[in-house]
Formats: sequence, C-alpha cells, structure tokens
Amino acid sequence: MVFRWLLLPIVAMILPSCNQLDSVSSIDDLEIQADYALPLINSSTTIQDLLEASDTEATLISTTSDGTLAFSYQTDGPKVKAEQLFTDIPDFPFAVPDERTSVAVEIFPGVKLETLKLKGGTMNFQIFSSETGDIDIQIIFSNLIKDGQPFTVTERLINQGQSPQEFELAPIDVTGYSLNLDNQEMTVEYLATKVSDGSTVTLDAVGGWGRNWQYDLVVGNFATETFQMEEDTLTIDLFDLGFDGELSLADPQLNLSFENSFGLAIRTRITQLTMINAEGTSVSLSGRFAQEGFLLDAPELNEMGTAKSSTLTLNKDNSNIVEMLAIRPQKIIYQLSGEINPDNNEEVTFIQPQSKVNTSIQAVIPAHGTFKMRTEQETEVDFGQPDQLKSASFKLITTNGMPFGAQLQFYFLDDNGLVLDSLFNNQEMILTAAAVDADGFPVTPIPLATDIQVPANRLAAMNQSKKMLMKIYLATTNDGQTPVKITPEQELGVKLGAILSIEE
Amino acid sequence: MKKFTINNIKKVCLSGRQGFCKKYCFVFGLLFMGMIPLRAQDIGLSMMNNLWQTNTLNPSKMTDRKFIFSFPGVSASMGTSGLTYNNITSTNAEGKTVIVANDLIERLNNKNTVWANTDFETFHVAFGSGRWQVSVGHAFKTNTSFTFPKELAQLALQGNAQFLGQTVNIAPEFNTSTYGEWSIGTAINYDRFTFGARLKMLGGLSNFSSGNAVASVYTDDASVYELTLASDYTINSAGLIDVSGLEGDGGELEITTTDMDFLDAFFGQNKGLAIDLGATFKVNDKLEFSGSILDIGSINWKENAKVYTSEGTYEYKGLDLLNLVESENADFSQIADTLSDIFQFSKADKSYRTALSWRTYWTVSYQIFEKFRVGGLIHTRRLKGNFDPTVAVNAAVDFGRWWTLGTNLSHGKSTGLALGANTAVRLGPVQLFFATDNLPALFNIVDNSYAHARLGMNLGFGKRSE
Repeated sequence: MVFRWLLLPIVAMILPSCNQLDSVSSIDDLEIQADYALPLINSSTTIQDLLEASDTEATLISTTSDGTLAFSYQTDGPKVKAEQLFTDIPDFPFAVPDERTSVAVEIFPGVKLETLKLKGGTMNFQIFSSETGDIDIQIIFSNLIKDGQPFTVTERLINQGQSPQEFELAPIDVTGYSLNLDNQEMTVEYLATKVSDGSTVTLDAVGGWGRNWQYDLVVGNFATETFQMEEDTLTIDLFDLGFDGELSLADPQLNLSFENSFGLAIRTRITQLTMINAEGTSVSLSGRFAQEGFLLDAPELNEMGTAKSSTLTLNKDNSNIVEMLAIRPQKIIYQLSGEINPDNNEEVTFIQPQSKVNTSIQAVIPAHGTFKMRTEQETEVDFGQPDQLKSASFKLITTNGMPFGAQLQFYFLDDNGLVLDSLFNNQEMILTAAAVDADGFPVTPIPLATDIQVPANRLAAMNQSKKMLMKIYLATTNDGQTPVKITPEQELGVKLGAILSIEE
Repeated sequence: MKKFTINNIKKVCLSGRQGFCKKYCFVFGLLFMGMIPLRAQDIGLSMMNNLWQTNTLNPSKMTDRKFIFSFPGVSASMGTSGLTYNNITSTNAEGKTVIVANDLIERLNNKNTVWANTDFETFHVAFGSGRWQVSVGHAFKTNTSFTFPKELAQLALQGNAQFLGQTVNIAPEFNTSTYGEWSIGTAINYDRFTFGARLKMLGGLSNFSSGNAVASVYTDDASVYELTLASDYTINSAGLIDVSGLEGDGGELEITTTDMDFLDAFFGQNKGLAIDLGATFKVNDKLEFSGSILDIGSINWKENAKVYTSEGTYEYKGLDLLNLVESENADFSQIADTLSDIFQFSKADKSYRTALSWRTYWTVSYQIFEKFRVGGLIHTRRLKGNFDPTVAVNAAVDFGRWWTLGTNLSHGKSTGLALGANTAVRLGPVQLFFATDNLPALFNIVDNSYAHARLGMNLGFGKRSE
C-alpha cells in the first residue's frame, strides 16, 4: 500500500506526457517543396541506328567509295516468257502429190526457220489408192532427222476389196527429231510397190498432218515484232514523313536490270515511267532512253541455256531523275516494251521454251544534296494529372555530327484546335547543322545547349490540352544552300536533364 | 493517343528520393514506432548518495548497507538533437498536423542523432564489509542510435538541385543492439581512495548496425545533371534480426525478428566481454571526486550474422534515346529503378564485432551543510560516430534519514539544456527511488527533445561501519 502511494505522484506527473504521445502519432502529412535535378536521356546515336529503328522499307546501302549513305528500293518487275511470244506450233497439213515433193514450211509467221528441234508431236498419214492388191509403201522425210537418219515410214497397205481405198496410218511420234530446212522447204518422197509382183505404182494421194508439235529449239531469222510488258509499281517510303519544302538530291539513280535468255536481239523501251507524290503531283521521265530504247544483251547460238544481264541506269546526266525525285515521290509507275530484231537484219537467232526476260527496278537515292523542309504533326495527347509537379526546367544539349540542323516547336491545343500555349516562345533551334568540307562531309560536331522552361502556367496549359501540334524544320548546312553528304556513321548526341519542382 | 509520362517523371523524383534514402530512412520509422527501448544517461543518478544503482555508473561507489538486493528496475531515455514534436510540426490551412520539410531541415544540425537506450536491470546482489564490496548482477540492455547528416534530409526532402556541382555525403550511421549482461564487481577502499572494477560477460541477442558509412551523391551542373553515386557502406545484422530486401531481390525492405528461448535470452549466443572501471577520491569529509569509464568492450556477433555491403562508384547519365523511342510506352520511371538498383547490397554470412558505446562520468560533490550538498558532473558518451558530452550541476537535500530530494541542471550536446530531479525514500530495509534528467519532458514531451526516467527498488540490510 505504501508503495502505491509513493508511486501516485510519479504517475500523475507522467500521465500528461503519455496523453501527448497520442498527438505524436497524429501527424497527417509531410509537406515537401523539392527541386530534383535528374539526367533523363544520354544517348549517342548514329544515322544507321536511327534508320534501323525506323520501319522504312528501304534496304540501307553505302553506295560510293566515300561511304555516302543511300536508300535503295528494289522490286522485281514483269517477266516475258517464250510462250508469250511464240505460242505452240499449230497442226499443219502436208501433201505429197508426187513420189518426190518439196513441201513449204511456215511454222511461226515471220520466222525464217532454219532448224526446229522437237520435243513432242506426231506425224499422221492418210493415203488413197485405186490399186486392187496389197501395197508396200515407204515415206521418207529427208529434212526431218534423228540420230543421222531421216524420218521414214514403212507400211503394208492391205486391200480390203475396195477400189479406191483410203488408208490412215497410226500416228508416229516425232519426239527428238530436228527439222533442218533449206529455203523453208522440206523434201518428202515415197515409194509404193505391189506386194504381188514388186512393181512400182503411183498412188492416188499421199498426205497427212503434223500434230501437237512442241519445239525444243527454234533457230532462224526472226522478223521485227514488238511486245508490251505489264505495268509495275515501285513504292518509296523515304518521303512519307510529310515534309514539305525544297529537296535536291545530287546523284540519284534508277537502275532497270534485265536478265535475258532469248537468243534474240531485243530492244526495250520505257513506254512509261512516272513518279507520283502524296499530293498526286507527277513527273514523267524524259530523255533519250525514252525514245531510243535499250538493246539487251543476248546469248549467242553457242551460249544456249544461259542468260545475259543488262542494266539501264537513269541518272542526272541521261534523264530528268533529279527533277522527278524533287517532288518526293511515294511511288514510281513504269511500263516497258520490247522489240524483237529491231533493225530487221538477217541474223540467225534462236528461242527455246525456257527463254525469258526477267526485269527488276532499283531506285538508289544517295543522301547527298540539299534540303530545307518543314513538317507539322498533330496528335492527341494526355499529359495526365501531375498535381505534385509544379514546374520543370529542361536542359537539352545536342552534339550534332550531321550536316543538317533542326528547329522545333510544340503547340498545345484544346479540343477546338485553339492554341493554349507553346513550348517555346519562338521556334527553337535544337540542332545546329555541322559545317562541311569541300566534299560535303561534316567537319566537326556542333554542340548546342537549349533551356526549356515549363513554368506552372505552361504546365497547366499542357494538362488542359487535348492535342499537340509539333512543327519541325530541317535544313542542311547553311540553311539548305550547301550540298552535303550523310554517312551512316554520323552521330547525334542528345543529353536531356531536368529540374523538376515538386510540391506535395 | 500518345500518353506522355510526366507523371512518371514525378514518380522518378519521388522514387529517386526513395532510392536515395530507402535503405536508410526506415530506421526513422523504427525509432518512432515505440518499439525501441530507451536507455539513460543517468545524470541525476550519478550524483545520488547511498543508492546502490550509483554503483552501476561507477563501480567504486559503495553504499552504507552491508547487503543489498536490487529488484528489477528500469532506466530509459530517448532524445534527438534538439528536435521536438512541436518545433517540427505545424497546422496547415486545412487544420491538419503536418511536418513542413523545409522547417524541419532548418532546425537540423550538420549531424543529427536520434537515440534511445534502455537498461532493464533484472537483479543485483551486493555484499560489503569494511573496506570492500562485491556484487553480482544481471541486466538487459538496448542501445539505439541513428545519426544522419543534414544533407541526407535535404537531398530527400528538398531535392538535389541545391547541390549542383557538389558532392554531398548522405550516409547515415546507426546501431541498435540488445544484449544480456552478467556482471561481477568489486570495490576496495584504501585510505581516501576507493577503486572499483566490474567484469561483464555479454550475450548478444540482436544487432542491426552500420559499419563503413560512406555514401555520396554528386550532381553535375556542367551538363545535364548526371549523377555520380559512391558508396562504401555496410549493414550488419545478427541474432534475432533478419533483414530482407537489401539485395535487390525485388522485395520490399523488411526487418523481422525471430523468437528466442528463455535461456537464450539470458545467456545469448553472441559472446562479448566488457569492463567498467571507477575511482573515488575523498579529499575530506565534505569534498569528493570520482570518475568512471563504463562499457569498454565489444560483442562478437556470430549467430545468424550477415554483412551487407554496397561498394563502388556509379555514374547515372540517363536513358538511351533509341530504347526510349523503340519502347511502346516511353516510361521515365526506369530511372527510378536504375537509381534504386545502384544502391543494392551484396550479402555475406560472416561474423562481425561491435564495440559498446563507452561512457565516462566525472563528478565532484561538496557537502555544504549536513543535509545539503552540491555537485558537478562531466559526462561523455560515444554515440555512433559522435562524441556526446554533457555537463551538469546538482543539489540535494536530505529530509531526515529517510527521504532525499535532488535536482540537477545539465547541458548536453545531444540533449540541450535540461532540468532534472531525483528522489529516494528509505522505509526500513526498502529503498525506492526515481530520477529523471529532464523533468519538463514528463509533463510536456511534445516540447522537449529529450526524455529520461529511472525507477527502482532495493532491499538493504545491515549498516556498514564508517
């Protein structure tokens, strides 16, 4: 009991403090005003890195020995096959009115045939005889030869008691035979003898048909003839970013490549080559190739089975391609024609069933030239509700090793497109184009520091905005006046830091 | 719709702040959760007479009784470097009680310590006769301190923009140890001198402490605020404490404790030794000097001992632009992840040693009248990483033979100016006492940065001869 009484005053003293401990746990919040400095981006990027990150359809290549970057767009073009030019041999009749006859042969119109190798077909014979007895007949095609032997038919015609009597022989395969002609004629002779006494007789009529002949080789002199290839399109996405302005490419090329296995002289002509941009503006090819055409290389007689390649290159010296690319085309529409034996000479040439002309088209656009272009892109945005973020200050440092600079501006718009605020007071230069040497290559990377202030009112405008309009202006060195060369190795260094003011 | 992640930038800041201090600031939380026991400076106790517990502060002190049995008693204290609840909180416009970070930081010193200690004395038995005295005792002790540089709070709560171009050290130092202490002591009087010594066998129960404590942040102002983070920092844990989440395993930082057996609690698995030394010089019947050095020793932590190390220099320069462009959701919160990863720790299972925080007491006492005496004190202690001195004066009045009332005025580096009071009552063989080094804190803790109380009861038999 005594102890309790002694403890009482002590407890009484401590009790108020114990009650106060409750208030210690009642702290509701921590109020902070802080400025955090943070590096956000630190990056060194080459042109090649940027292009690989993009989804361009171009195959990136380095064109010249100086390493200038080039964009290459390529596609296979239309094909021309032998069957399109020379259809199957039509069935043809022949007649042998005498024991020895020369028969005129014109299998392909306009072709002075010298040799026709067959890989299929038959000879069908029909014979009329007024003789009453059985007859042995031998028919010889001395120009139709296989293994050194002429095509020969030997048959016994059995009289059925009729007079005159018609005989139709079973079809005889001519596969593997070669028809070698002199003056486009073949010689046919027959010998008919009576079985009874072996005496020679003259029959009423001997004739027949060549049916389903298929050629393995046609050698001769081909007459002049033109043909059309299908229209084709090459798509170019290099200019899809929507830039508008001036572009001058120093040395673009358009390569039309041909692979020809016809043994014929063929001259191709560009009947149409038009570049069309997103706005529908088009420019067509002009220059001597449009009129003169281009003679394809062809295999000689002793080069059968091979193909010869030819390339027609359109460049600034032989065409208006610079003018055409200046419109920043999205596609190239082209069509070609061909002319067989264009000079109508007497040369002996050939075709085979597998003969064809393959075409391909390649646009090579070197990053060499000048440009100054602008683009605007509007996008819906949502900057969120950064209540605690009261203001921000960004420091952008670029180190530009590329020979073009950039100006940037962002506008923050409401639903109706009304400008609420902009990121900069004026369009701000964020990249300074590097100076270039006499060859157009950058000399020294150019650093540029840009301060970007986002005070509270601008932050509020950003929060209210529903859309953002981005304006970019790009220009090569000296505001697009100096031709420059861009290489894949040219670097762009970007550093972005921020001081973010937080209140919570 | 393009979603810009400025919110995420905000998250970067907030998370970055967490990144800087996540690993360290949690100790703050522990301190204010009330689970941290308290421990005393015992300014007033050290100047009380004829009380056995003064022997715990100076082993040369003897009482006027031949036999003393001390019942379980508690001595507890906690304090901060001048911060009080009321001077770091305010009421905002909404009527809420808030801590305004800027006001808090304004009140911080270059180095700031939050400390709390508890001695739970299980029992003491002392026997003395003539010129000598021997004693045996047991106590549980918990020492906790957390020292942090002002720059840590500035960096976390005000941001690093104020430190552009500067390297700031943000490494906190902390220690919390709980151990059991078996002691055997003796005191011998020789003429006007009395010498005392106490050997203490320690059994560590739990420890969570920092070792090497270097962690700095440099923000480059010449470029785009690139960060250079350097650390040579170790965190130790042992005994009943398990720490998870330090090694970057994706988990939240968490400290858990395990159960212990009764015997383990009394004897501990982590052995240590310490000694206390003391001396008293009685100039004459009125004037007496005394001094003591306590807790010279250490504990070797072996049981469940782990050392977490973060060492190295890391530069953070920002994200790669291409990666950002290529990712469908450009998210700057990657920065927070990176910064957080930088301070990851590697764990090693190995023993380590921690020294006790030694203390000294230097007192002088003068008996002006038979019932009234005055005194002075210089007390020093080593808090983790800091030397912490206190000076004090005191006066005491005896009301008869059974009641003593005293007061003391102290000024300490970590405690500031404090008015203390103490009293002891003797009722036959029973002796009760109470002491506090900061009396106002008992009534008004929210305006005081330091609180202390000690309470105990002894049984004493047999009057010793002079």
